[in-house]
Amino acid sequence: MRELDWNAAPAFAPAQGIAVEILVGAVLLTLVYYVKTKLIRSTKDFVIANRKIGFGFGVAGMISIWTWAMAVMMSAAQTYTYGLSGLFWFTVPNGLAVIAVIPFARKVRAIMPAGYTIPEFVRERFGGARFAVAVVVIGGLFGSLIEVVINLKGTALVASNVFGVDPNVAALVGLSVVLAYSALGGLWASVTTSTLSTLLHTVPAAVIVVAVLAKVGGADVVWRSVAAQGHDLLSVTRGDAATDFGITLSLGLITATVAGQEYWQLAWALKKKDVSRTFLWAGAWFYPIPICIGVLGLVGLGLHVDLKTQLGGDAAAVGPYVVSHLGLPSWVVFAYVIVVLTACYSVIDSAFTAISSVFVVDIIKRLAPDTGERALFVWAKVPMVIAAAIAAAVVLTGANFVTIVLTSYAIRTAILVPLVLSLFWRRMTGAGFVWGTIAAIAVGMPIRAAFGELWGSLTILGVSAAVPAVLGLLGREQYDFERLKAVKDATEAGDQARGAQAPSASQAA
Amino acid sequence: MSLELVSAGTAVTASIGVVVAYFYLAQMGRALARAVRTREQVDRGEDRYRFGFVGAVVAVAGSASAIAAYGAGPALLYLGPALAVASSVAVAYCLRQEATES
Repeated sequence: MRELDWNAAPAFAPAQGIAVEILVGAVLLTLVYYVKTKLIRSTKDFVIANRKIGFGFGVAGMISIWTWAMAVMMSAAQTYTYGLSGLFWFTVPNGLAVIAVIPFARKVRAIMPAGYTIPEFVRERFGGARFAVAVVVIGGLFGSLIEVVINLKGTALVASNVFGVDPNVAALVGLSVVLAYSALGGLWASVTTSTLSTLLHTVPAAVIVVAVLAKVGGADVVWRSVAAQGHDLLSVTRGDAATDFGITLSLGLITATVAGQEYWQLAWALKKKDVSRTFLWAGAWFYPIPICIGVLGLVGLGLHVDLKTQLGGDAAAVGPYVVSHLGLPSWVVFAYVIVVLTACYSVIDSAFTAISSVFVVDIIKRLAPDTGERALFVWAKVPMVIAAAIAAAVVLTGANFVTIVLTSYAIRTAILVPLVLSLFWRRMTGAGFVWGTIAAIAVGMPIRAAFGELWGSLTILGVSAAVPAVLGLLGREQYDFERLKAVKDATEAGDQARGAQAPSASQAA
Repeated sequence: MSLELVSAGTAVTASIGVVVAYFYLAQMGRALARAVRTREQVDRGEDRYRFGFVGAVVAVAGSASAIAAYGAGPALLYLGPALAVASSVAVAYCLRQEATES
């Protein structure tokens, strides 16, 4: 193997890292400004893109929204840890989780065409069941907040590793940049910037991997070095990858999409004819991103990168470490940073949009149903600022957000089965939803604490299925799904009642 | 500071990437222009897509096979970058569909 000098990396200054963050944001902001002036004229445009997202923007947007920064780094990390079995168990369930949404997205769009949020669906389906709605609102808001925090940490990780930027400064700059363009364009901003980001996740990723392989002496060098280490590192059949993280990750990913506001919102925002094929194509063409970037983990293995001394004990750093320490040309390193940053930005902006929808539809419109279009348009941006402030506080104070993570995890996993039953089973009741969720959390979380995530998740899923099933079978209710078709569009209802006009583009601005 | 030259393979990949990126951005621009043009049109379509299950099987089997292929030989490590570029082409195709649909 060619002798490598791990210190041959170009020396970057922290200011360069900040400049890259701002530059990427400026490019996205320019795109959003165009979108805002041409497409955003009402709260409905802002929150749900007027239900006019087509096939192309749908596929591209969804790929990028699903490509978390940690997904970019974890594909290499799991490959580095378990070999190809790690890449297999990380990647295959990831794309499948997006494709798995198809039957639910199709169904919800058909039975409740004017919907916006999961809590709204639960409220209408169960005649205003307040507790169930409150649980789903909290789960949705916490879930989106976690996405913001985790991806801010991704921004900080790459900027500090490559450029030596203070992690807090990197996180704050990234947050400000995303907040600026998200508040300007809402869901249209999220989808169009994500479309650009998808290009930046794919082509640069290919160039980076080819450059890395060339730098270390070719694919042959890496492959033979990994093969020589044994441990079935070049096989996808290692059982420990499945048991250590694969099965649990699969459950978590499916919960994140099927019970995730971001995906329900997209289901309602897409043109009707494009719903199914958009989720299929997005899931299918998401796959190449982790498959490509996972090669960096093999390079780390092949070069015997040391977990403790070189990666500080964090396998997620293997990608940034390999790319920034091989002595690659600066532009290749910058390209890698852009791949990670755009992944962070696209997830954060979609989380902001999801938070905005829940706030407008399930809080403002419930507390003040007569809120006019202009006021609603302003209110739609407030939760983004609040979420950004909370996320910044969590990152800056170094607060332990385990409680938020656990709460969100418990609620999302516990509502998964009741939500699915609500969509497809006429006998599903509000009591079944509430008690199924409560019992699942009450029983499952202690088991999770005692026996680990896998048994905890399986218990939560089992209890949340059993309780509604029993209550539904005991009861005599037969819900008529046709009733959901009569649900009025939440952001239009107030205006219709008041006879108000939507503001013009300039007024809305 | 490192030498800013790259291998021939990297240069070729970057060149292909530039062409693909141009095509992608052009289709994105067309799709965006169409979205602006048709923003007032009523959406009367219906979701009649029938290839969801078959497509899911093909996508999952294909991705699993691509990962397993890495273990078959060194040259197949380049399958990842090739698929990543193909992903851009596929998304550009979707954007083109959106821009040209009747």
